[in-house]
Amino acid sequence: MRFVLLSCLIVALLGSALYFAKLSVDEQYRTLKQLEIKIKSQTEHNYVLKAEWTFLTRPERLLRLSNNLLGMNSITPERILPISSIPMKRSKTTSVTNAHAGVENVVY
Amino acid sequence: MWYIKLAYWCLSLLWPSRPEPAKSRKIAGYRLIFSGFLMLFIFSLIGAQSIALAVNKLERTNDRYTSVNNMTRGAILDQKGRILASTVPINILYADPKHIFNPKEVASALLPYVPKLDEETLIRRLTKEGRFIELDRKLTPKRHSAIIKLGLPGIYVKPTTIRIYPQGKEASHIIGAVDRDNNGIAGIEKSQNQTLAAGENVYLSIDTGLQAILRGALNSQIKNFEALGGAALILDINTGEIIAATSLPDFDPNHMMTSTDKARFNQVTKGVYEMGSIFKVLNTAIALETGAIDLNGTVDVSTPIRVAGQLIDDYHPIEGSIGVAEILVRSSNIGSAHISQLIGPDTQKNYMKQLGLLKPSPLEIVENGVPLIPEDWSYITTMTVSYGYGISVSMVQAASAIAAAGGNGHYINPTLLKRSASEPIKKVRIFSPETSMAVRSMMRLVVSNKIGTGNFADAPGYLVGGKTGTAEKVENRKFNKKANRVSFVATFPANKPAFLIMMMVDEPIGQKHSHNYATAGWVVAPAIKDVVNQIAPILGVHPVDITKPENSQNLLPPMMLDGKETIYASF
Repeated sequence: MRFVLLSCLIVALLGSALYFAKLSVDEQYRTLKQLEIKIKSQTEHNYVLKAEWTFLTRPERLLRLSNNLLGMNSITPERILPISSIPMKRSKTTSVTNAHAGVENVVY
Repeated sequence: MWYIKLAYWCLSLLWPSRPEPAKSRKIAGYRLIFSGFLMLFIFSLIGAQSIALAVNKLERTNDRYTSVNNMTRGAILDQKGRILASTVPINILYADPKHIFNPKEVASALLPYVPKLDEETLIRRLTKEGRFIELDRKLTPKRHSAIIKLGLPGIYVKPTTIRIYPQGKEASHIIGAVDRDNNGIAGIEKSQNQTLAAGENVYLSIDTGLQAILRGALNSQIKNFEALGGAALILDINTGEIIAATSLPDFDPNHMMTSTDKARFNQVTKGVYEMGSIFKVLNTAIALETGAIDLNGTVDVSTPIRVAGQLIDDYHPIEGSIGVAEILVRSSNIGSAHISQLIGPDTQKNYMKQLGLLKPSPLEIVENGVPLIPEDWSYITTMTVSYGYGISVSMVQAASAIAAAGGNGHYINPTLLKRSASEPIKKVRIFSPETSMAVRSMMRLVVSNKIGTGNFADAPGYLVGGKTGTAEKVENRKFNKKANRVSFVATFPANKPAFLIMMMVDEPIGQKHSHNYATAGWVVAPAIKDVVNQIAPILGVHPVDITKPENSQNLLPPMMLDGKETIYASF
């Protein structure tokens, strides 16, 4: 009798534990589903935001705005120089003859 | 300690010492009460959960997000990852007429929120047979919210997706469009439909920034010369990637159905045209490569050629004999025709084949033009082909062929898809390095020499080389001398060719500012200069000081042209 009683108690305890575990898993699963839905929703928002951003930053519009509002123009070749044309800071050890004389006279 | 006592008591209940008979009844009573409470507790839990299930229900799977996610079509992106086509969620407004008892009342309430429909149409739709009658395919969030607040029976909203093209008209011919069911019906959308439908993104070789610059420059010239339209492309000579391609007039793929047939026609890839004098670049390259003529050879161009009822003449007559370079620089039809006779029909045809001009280009797009080639490749045909008549090819085909002649001598299949860094590029050598160097030197002289036809294309520092082409349009099987298609093909920088630009303007009209000229040199060349000036810094092409010997190593040494020594520097 004692053995039966004890077994019943253990079974009841295990059953309860299993039941709570199942409830917990259900809850976790529900949370997971909600998170998945949230991720999908955010991904969709992301699609929309990216599309809106692309629409607002389309080069044709930026070109028009930069020309009309900022008066910006493309860089002329005179403003692009080889790196060697930039006068370097003279180090103490560098002799005067090795130091670069300055911007080269570039002919196009 | 009380809890030890409690535990001992609980244990004694379960495992009691052998009770005295008087106590056993009492113990049995406790056990019964304990079991009763245990059962009550368990059944309460089960009951509570049943109630929770009945009242709250499990979180429903949100159909909207699941459906969108499953249906999402891959995006089309440019080479830098900017969106050209994307799929976004949207709501469809629809009616279930079976749930509508008073269509007139529903229609009058709904009317302000469906601007595309008038009352009569709306009532007709609300009384139609069926359970799903679409009222609006693009419901904005604002109208969506307002319609929900109305609480109209039988009016529902269904979430779905829509294909959008945020760049608008930019590269619309290349991107194409989809139908209502998101199936590609044109352009890359159609050719790459399987990949896109599987949710994978497609990266194009197109650069949207360069595309906008090219389109803007072409559009400006079309307006300036009251032309019917035009087309242009930029090709990477070393990879075959088309980094910009535009055809005007164009259309907005967001509203493709409202565009005209003409606007939907892709002149860059689908249209095949007689290219005119830009073919002289190929003629010169073939002649030098085959040894039909060498750099010192001269041809008498003083007499027009009359053959089979056709007169081959020059736009500006030239006296005496001139060299190969001068024939190209002055764009002499007579000189080119004479050189073609030295090449011969079979050799010319063979080179045209190798340059991919006799079959459609292998471009990844469905709108791919089939070239019109002469049935009988006779000596007369050879003459006309030498200056770009008698053979019609697409702009992409012509650009790829000239990229071989005026570039590094390799033919590379053009592509609209971005090449990965690891992908090997199939390069077929058609012209030797010496030939291609000679050709690009001459192309530079077309622009840099005062007798050249493309002086207006000279963008100082970028060593633009090029060739003009003016082709009369065929109308009613006859050439119309007043309707021209003018084009310009340019490579830059000439000493280390990296990019090719080709532009064509359809039927420009001479203007006061062009002294009534409507030739390629006046119409297209300035646009090429404008484009090079803008795109060269973006493409990392450094301005070159051509007076330095190390920069002119890849060009021919100075030669005599029109009695003067040639220079490659800008004037």
